[in-house]
Amino acid sequence: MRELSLHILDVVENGITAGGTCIWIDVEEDDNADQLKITIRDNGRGMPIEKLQNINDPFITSRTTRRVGLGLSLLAAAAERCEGAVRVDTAPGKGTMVEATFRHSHIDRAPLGDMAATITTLIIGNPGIDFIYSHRIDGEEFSLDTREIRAEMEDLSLSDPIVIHHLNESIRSSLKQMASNKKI
Amino acid sequence: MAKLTIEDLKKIKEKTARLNSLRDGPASIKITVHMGTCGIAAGARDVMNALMEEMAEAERADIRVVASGCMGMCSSEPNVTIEVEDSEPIVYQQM
Repeated sequence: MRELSLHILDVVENGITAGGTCIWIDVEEDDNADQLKITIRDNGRGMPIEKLQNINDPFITSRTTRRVGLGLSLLAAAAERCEGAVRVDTAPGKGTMVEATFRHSHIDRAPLGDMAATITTLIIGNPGIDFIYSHRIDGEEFSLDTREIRAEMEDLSLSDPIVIHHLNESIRSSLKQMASNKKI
Repeated sequence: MAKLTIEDLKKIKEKTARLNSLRDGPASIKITVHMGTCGIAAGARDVMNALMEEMAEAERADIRVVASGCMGMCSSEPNVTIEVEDSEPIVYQQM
């Protein structure tokens, strides 16, 4: 995949397939530590940690363990390619946490890409699921919580195309603003 | 801290208020964008966003768009399944 935001979309879809109703997406860009950290957590059914012995092995999955297949191993490959790693924490009934780290300045690090498109795609495609997205760039933070938005919108559907359009613009401009505020 | 403000939401709400009544009706058309790893890698996210842009313009209340997993036809991704009430579903390939 060309963008890390596509990996995020993929891992989040995994979490939803695993019965998650609330997904936390954290992106942290830290120039001082030269690190990019992506954390995705769900409240789905989780799985025995033994199933994750080797997340680099795309064939570790089967019909019964569909949760981990090509997706996670592709993310692991993308992270390891740039001195990072993927860590997974899970237990049956406890949900799953996937954390991917990257050396931010590594030449092989894929661009984060279009996070706004990833978030809105998730909201459109999964009407019953809540998303809590937080993005930090050198200490500045953008956050979005669909639970709050839902409460505010009352009877209006979050997946309404016009709402989505505005959400998209709002995420895009906030992230752009944060990136341009970055100390050089 | 940047955040989606209440004012933003209120603005959105005003803009969509006029469509609210339109969208109350039952959906008779369901569009499923398949978003497995294969679909995403092939560009399903772009398909989803293009669909949304079109929907925003069309003001159609009878269409629902949802995401689902891989349907087992990875080589023809992005796949989009369209289900119109009372007829067979149609899968559009390589969107």
